[in-house]
Amino acid sequence: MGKFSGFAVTLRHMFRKPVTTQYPKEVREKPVRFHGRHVLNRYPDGMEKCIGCELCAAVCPAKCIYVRGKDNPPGNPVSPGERYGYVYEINLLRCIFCGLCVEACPTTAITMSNMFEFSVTDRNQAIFTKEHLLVGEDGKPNRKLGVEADVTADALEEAGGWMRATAPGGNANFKEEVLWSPEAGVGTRLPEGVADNHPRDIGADTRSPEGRVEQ
Amino acid sequence: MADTKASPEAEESQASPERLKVTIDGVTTEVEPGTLLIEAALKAGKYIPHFCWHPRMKPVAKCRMCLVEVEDQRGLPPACTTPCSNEMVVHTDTPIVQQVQESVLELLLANHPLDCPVCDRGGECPLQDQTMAYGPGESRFVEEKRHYEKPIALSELVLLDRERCILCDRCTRFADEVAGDPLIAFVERGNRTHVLTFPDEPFRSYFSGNTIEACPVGALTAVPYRFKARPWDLEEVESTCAQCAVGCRVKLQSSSSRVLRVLGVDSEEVNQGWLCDKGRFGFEYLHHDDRLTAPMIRIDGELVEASWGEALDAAADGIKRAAKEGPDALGFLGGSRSTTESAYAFSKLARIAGTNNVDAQLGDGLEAAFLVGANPRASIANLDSAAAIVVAGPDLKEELPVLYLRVKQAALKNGVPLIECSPMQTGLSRYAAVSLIHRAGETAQLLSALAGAAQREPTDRPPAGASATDFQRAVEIISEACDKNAVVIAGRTGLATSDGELGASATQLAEAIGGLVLPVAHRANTMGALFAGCAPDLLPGGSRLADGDGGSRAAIEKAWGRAVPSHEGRDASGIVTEAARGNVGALVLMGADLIDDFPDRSLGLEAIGRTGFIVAIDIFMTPTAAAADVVFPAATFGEQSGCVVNIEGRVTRQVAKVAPPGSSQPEWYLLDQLTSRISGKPARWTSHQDVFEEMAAAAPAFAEVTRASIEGAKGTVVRASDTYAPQEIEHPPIATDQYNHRVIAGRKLYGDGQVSGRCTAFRRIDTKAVARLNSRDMSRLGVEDGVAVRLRGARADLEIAVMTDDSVPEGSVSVPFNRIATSSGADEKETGESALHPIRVADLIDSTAAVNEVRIETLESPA
Repeated sequence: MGKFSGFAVTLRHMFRKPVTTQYPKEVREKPVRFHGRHVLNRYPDGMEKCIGCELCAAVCPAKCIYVRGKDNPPGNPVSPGERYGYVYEINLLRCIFCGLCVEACPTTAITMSNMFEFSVTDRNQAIFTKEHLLVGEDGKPNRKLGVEADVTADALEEAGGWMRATAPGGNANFKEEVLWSPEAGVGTRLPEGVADNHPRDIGADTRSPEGRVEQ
Repeated sequence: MADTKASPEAEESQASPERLKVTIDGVTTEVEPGTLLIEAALKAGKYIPHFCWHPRMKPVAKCRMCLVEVEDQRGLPPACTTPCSNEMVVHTDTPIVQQVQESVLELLLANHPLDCPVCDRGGECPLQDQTMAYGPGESRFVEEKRHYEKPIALSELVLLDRERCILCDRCTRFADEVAGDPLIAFVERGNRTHVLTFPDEPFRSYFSGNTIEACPVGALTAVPYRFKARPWDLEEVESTCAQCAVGCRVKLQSSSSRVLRVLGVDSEEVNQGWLCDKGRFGFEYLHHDDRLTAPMIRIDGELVEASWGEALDAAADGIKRAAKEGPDALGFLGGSRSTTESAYAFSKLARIAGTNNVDAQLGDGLEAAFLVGANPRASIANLDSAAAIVVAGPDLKEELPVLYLRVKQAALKNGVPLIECSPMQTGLSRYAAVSLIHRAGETAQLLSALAGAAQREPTDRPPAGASATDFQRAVEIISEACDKNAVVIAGRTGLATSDGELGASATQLAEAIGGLVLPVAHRANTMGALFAGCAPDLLPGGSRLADGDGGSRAAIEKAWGRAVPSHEGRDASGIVTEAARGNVGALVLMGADLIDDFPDRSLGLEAIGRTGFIVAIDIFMTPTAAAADVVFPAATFGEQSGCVVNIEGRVTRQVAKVAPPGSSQPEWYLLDQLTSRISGKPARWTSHQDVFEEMAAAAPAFAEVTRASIEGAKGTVVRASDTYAPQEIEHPPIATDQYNHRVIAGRKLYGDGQVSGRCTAFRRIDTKAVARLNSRDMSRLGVEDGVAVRLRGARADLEIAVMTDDSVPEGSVSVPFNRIATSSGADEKETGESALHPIRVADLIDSTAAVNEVRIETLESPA
């Protein structure tokens, strides 16, 4: 009998439902903490969250992130505060999708989406720049044409840049809480002592961007 | 010095009564009386956290971070103001000390904005580090923080974020104590105390960048470095600054092959950690789009890009053709902006090509033999303990700012009497015991008279129009300082005067008072280039060419396998004068711009126009390079390794950090290729070290200099093989015309030159040239500040705005040499059109005359 006991396992499996899904016809639901490709988020008012602090680049074990900051243009600030991410590039061929960048980010600017369908024919195509990483004004991720799979608008909604696996306390339902921002750190008063008798022509910061300070 | 080198055991055994025994956290150490506890702790290997204490400034105990527990003493004294006493027992990590440290940090952080992610200091911030190491871990402060507008510009170079400031007093102390420009101060009281400039007076100090480095938080940040990188992006090498001949040690930091920041290194011998703003921020030209990237040759009157081989062949052919007409048909100028290796290669090429017409200075310095052979030569550190300092040279604050700091420190802190011999008041006048203001160009006479008076030779009346009482006072000071290591600092006082005998007179004075001489030069590696033999009368190592059968000459001929030409060479002025007469067939210019950087512009233009063949080795398309037949792109500071020699003769290393643009090469490489094409022997060098080794073997002065001995901040001091011994000095009489004004043409720190004009950091600084006149001359002329006048010089007329400045004596006019003089010229530069001939002060100067005088005419007022 011993020699037939092995076949019992085979027989048992013949009547089971197969685990294979017919990708790409069928799309499996991804877990909430899925580590897909990164997105750069915006505040509800459209301002970019990234402040170009390079902490993501510093913590990245694969050294796949390149960031450079710059002074916010006084008339038309890109992000709240003095500095914004002027260059933001991730080489997704090098990325190991560990999510340390998400943990390091002081403004939850970088999070991981559930978008994973990209294939490249040229190594340069694997470098995602700010243009592709930054979510649109509507909060939906941009798709890098020719590299990322064609998906429906719903799927993009699904892929939104919410904080996922690495939310403080590990709460997968965590939604959008600013950890560090000028508001969170320093309150909402206008700067004091704004006197006119000192030189300030370099003045990166005579602006008061909407949503940053209450007028 | 010997004490610090002794082993700890040896120190232990020689416990003399003058030394104090201090025990810090169980480690016993011996210190000199007067040592502060915080210094003693560092010596014992214990770090006491601190913010306000800085080893080069007076302690103030403002931050309260360094409180320690001293046994048998009530309360917790701050370690930075407590001097050690014998048998003191100190604890730095008891629970009470830890509690105090936590409280201090909690209070400091109460108002600190914690915008570390956007702060330029984040990642290298003492406040961050000490909060991590000694902080309470979390804050109980939930109230609203103090707010200020951020950031505000203190000057064109420094930004201040008052929210981040922890009021440590370092920047304000630096400005007052070290730089002597107390332009920033604390304003308001209590919680609202902050640092600010005075109304309408920006923090325009030449040393403002040091406050950024000293700031223990990110309150002071640099405009050029703002948001350029974060500390963990940067890679650094230690190098030597290439902006002036002081040779400050710097840390050169780069990211992605771009130099982003320069920081000072505390080298006791040279800069004590300080840098001037030109050294700190003047690196942006390295990455300017105008950098030459490929060799160019002139074909049908147009400069076109060529391959290295073509360009080298063309240059070698041109030099060989000219060399057939004898040694005086060749001229080699430059080398003082390069490394010593490259200068050596330049000097060698000149000699192999068969001429001694080679000069590293552009007729704007002193005798080469004096600069390298001054004896006994002072070091910068000698200034600290000198019995007296005589400064006879340029305005040190403008040309050698860090040397100015050292002289100022000696005068102010150590009480060294300072005698200033200058045609006008300079930055040092405030600290001078006596300012011997005299007629420009007659400094040598004055020094000789001082030397005579020191040897009790009666002088009835001081020469050069100096005041008799001041002269008497100066004589008293130097007589007092006789044989006690007084230092005579000697350099070219200005470019409008030839200062021909200044080196000899300075040596004479030093001999008379038994003192030391410190010759100063303008360009960074002038001394290195002269030591490498880039002077008509010198061979590598600073040995005299004319000494003929001396051993050095034989050694060099052996190393080169070639006889060194023995004809008498011409210096820069001689070469250019001959070239202007059309007698020079080929000029090789290495970092030498005869149009914008030569004292006599019309002569330079004439020379360029009449020379048949010009090779320019440069980093930018200078007006001279634009007129050349072959142009080679050179690697420069930060792009090539090598050694440099500063005014003391100290050899230190410059280290390459970034890649040169395009196919630019270090000069020694292309010079080696040229030498090989001219001599027919194969090129010999594959790295700067090969050049160095050949130079060290050929030049006896460099025999003791090894690769290992020039590592580090201290380097090795070299002395020329032949010391300078002046002949009998004869001062030719200089006629004065009371209707004329004598020209004082000094350089300003920020100019419009090829290099500093291309540094974005300096572009915002006002570099408009004005002529400065004494108020009496102004009223005699009947003009007011800002009015344009015409200066009628021997060579040209110059229209320039005037300004009252009583630091200029009557009968003189001070014009900045390195700034474009006319507004039309400045406009041209901005629009980028034909920057070839904006009028400069150099147009006015006749370099063949001993002094230059101008007649000042008022312009007709516009109707």
